[in-house]
Amino acid sequence: VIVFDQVSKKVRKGRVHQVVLDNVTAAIPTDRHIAVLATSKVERSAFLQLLAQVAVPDHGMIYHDAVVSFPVGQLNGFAPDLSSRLNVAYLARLYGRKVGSTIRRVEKYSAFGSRLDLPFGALSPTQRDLLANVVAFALPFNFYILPRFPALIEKNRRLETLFTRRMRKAGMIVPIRERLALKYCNTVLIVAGGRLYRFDDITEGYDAFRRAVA
Amino acid sequence: MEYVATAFRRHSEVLSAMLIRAIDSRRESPFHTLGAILEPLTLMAVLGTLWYLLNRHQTVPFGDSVLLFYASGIFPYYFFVYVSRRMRLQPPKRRFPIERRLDHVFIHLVLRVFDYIVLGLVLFGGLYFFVTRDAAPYSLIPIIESAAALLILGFGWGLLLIALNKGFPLWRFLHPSISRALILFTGIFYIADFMSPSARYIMSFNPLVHAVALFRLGFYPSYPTLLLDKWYLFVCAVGFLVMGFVLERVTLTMEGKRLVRPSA
Repeated sequence: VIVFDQVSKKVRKGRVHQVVLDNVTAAIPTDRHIAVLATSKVERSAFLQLLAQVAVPDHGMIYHDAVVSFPVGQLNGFAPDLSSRLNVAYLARLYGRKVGSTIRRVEKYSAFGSRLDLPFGALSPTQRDLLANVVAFALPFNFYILPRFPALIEKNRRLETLFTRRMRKAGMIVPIRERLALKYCNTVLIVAGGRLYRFDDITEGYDAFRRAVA
Repeated sequence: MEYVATAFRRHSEVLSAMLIRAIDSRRESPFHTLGAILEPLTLMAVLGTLWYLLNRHQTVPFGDSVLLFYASGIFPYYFFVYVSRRMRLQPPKRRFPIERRLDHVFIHLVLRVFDYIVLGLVLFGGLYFFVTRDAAPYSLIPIIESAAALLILGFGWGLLLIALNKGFPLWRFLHPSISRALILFTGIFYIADFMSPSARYIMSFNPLVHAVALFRLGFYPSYPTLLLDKWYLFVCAVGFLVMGFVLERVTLTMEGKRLVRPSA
């Protein structure tokens, strides 16, 4: 679980401060597939950044009792002048995983072949997007944080296989449409008015969210 | 206790991963590092050549070899400059959440120290074999003390520079010139103790003057130490480090607040 202990967080939106969380104490289960909904993009982004430990709360503490991924699809720490292979090796070492098996998994599911030896910066945006998703799911985390649902999962068979395999054992949190949530998620978490609301029924959760924003 | 051991193990894994990547980067593009290391060697070669061409009838400021005299001043000065320069707190958009800002600074320090150990061996080893036998240190203790003080001083100054660069954008352009001009007021080309009392008093506020004098004491046992105040040097070094850490924490809070803009 990820425990929020009296967490408060405000973000600046233009000239006003918007409250994302107001003294929230909650436990986010890391074995569930969570669809996260928020009344604004700012709230949702801030909440996910708190979970991913990219941002710090203004008050309170967040305790992680699980190995949480970096935001999936964002390879911020990759050096553009180094080859993708060296960058993947770096990421594996960073998260204490075996370099050889991680690279083999990335080779298998990305089908990059020799392109893995090209500088990361030389890859096209589409290739980078694929690599970013494959790399994240090639590393075994307990809980994956997806800032957006990767459209490639629906299009790329290899990535879908890897994603499905990971999701058998791990949890995830993702902002997602209801149609996809019904397929991939089993919990809805709503961030609204500085509070968190949890629903274990997808349809009920989305209905509640629609009523809240109406 | 187990928690501490796990945290320590994870932290060392992260640091070793970053170190390996830095070494990989250097292997891919070695000229950047070589250029930075060769700067003091080039300066030494130019100064040495100029001395022999224009000034050879004059006596060496101290000792038998002008090259050793310059080297023992240029080396500690560039060590400080090289440690404090290009120190960066990686912004969150350039790193993974598991990497902490100070990890990058730590790796920067490790690499700079390694570079300067190699440079020191090459420079003073070369002088020993080709120029003068005095290039073998008379005592390593003052050299290590001076290098330790310069490392702490450079670390603290580097952290302060990061905050100054953020607060005052103009500083980013002024600092390289000021840092280069400082070479004239650090007692590298002359002995600060032989200056007039008023000039000596003003120079005594510059901690680098003390570091250079301490470093030279390792090569010249009779080097004048009227100005040298080790206590002042270490207080300055620790003071800069404490101020640097405080400002790093302040900017961390600012970063935490600024971070949460939507990424879309």
